[in-house]
Amino acid sequence: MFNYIRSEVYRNMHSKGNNMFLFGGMIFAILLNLILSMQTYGDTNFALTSFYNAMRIIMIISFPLISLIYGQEFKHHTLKNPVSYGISRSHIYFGKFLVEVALCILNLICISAVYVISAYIILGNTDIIHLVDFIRSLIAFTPLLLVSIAVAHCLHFVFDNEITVGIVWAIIIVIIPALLKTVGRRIEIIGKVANLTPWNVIDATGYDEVTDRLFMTWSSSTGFIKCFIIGFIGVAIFYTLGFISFKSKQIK
Amino acid sequence: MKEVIKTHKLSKMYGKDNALSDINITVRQGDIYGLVGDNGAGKTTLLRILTGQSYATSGSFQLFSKSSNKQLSRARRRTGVIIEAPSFYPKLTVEQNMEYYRIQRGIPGKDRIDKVLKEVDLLNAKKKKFADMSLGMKQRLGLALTMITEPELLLLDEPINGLDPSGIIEIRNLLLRLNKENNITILISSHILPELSNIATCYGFLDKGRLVEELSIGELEEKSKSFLEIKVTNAKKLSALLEERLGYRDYKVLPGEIIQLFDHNSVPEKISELAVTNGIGLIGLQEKSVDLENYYMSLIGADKNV
Repeated sequence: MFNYIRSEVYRNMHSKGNNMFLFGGMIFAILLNLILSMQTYGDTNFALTSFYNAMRIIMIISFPLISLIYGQEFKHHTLKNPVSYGISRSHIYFGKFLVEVALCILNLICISAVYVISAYIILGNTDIIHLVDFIRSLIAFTPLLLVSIAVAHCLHFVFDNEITVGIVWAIIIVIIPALLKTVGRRIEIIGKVANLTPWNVIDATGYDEVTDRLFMTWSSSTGFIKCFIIGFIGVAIFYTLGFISFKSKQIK
Repeated sequence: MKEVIKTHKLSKMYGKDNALSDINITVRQGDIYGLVGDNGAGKTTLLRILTGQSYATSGSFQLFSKSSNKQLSRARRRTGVIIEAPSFYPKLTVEQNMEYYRIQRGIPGKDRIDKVLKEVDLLNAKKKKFADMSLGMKQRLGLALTMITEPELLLLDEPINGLDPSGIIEIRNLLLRLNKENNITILISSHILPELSNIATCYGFLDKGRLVEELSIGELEEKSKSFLEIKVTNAKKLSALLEERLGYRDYKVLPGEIIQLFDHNSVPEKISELAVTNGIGLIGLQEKSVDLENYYMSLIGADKNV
């Protein structure tokens, strides 16, 4: 399996799409801070707070990245090569997931780092408390991002068509949680279920005007742990579903 | 000789359709086994099952005498496979694609890539992206991939599709060389029967998912022996005379007053004299032989008539 993972890393390192995504993301992060520097409210606090308040966007952006890393295996019929060479489907499935997770997190870390560093260089107010909140947000967001990756990974092995994968991913990750939340405003039990979806966990719970801090679900200890529990269960469910499908799938 | 592939009542259903039905084939070490059949006969389905891309509905098979899932995975590492069109990552170059599979298969030394690319005459194209290659080049790259691990068994589905005549000859010579020098067993399917007859040492004829016949080159030659085709005005009368006067018994009377005479000792002059002296008009007399294509057509045609 180690060889399979190495080969996938090699392929991704030589794929222009992934590199463009990473460097494009970094340049975009710097541009955002440059634009913020032209605004009167544009300080480090605002930059960092708005980043972790907008992690739903990062979750959405993660989908095309996962698609790039996956490499359109069914479209190009390339999956038949490792399968016919005797590399077990469980190794292929796990190996690909591991590479997707590693590269997604690497992208997140690199782009975030560039964003933070450029914010501290370009913008004023170098308050450390917001950086602590920012790092805590990144850590709490990671298991939620893993659920998004697991869903995309699972769907890539279920459906051959990339567009279908995208639509179903959006239904599972965005549309169903949003609908549940809307209905949950009237029906309490549905509201509780809605709050267990990664999409709805990424939400602000309060704001402290004195310290200018935005509180998110993960700002409390229970909220922080909740992110990890949801992440673990979500990954387990979708990883297993995708594997069951792939194990019996005919490779063309 | 060792059995490299052995299937036992291998069947595959797609819904209610039988793609394969109770297939029993045996490929021995050193064989070049030609799988012959029309589109939809089950050739690709059989190869897909052997390579783990698909699963049999019932029946079993062995690769290198191994049959459990774990053992089969290991056995497949001793094979090289092309099924349908060779598939690679289109935006990677030839070299990058080969390097990807070299790493994946744990093959030491990058020089192995150059060696196999040279064998299929793609060394000069190694910086070319797969998407920009011609069909023939893609086929050759597919063959290069099958050889990167120095396999003991090649499973090739239509490997000469899209190749130009010189490319076909090159691949044919390469396969023959691999078979003779390295004792590589080859299971090959092809629509181009004359080409298949140039290399195969045994054949399996598939039709509508069933194995109609399996035979060695010797058995095929025996069945494909040359014959005299005689067209006369009265085939029934002449056949009786052939038996009575000349003692020929190995013949077939076909519609259109045609006799096919398989007797090796048949002498055309005697037959024409016999016909003329008995008032039978002799329209034509020609020596013919059955090649693989004709044999296949007669086999499948006969089957269709049943």
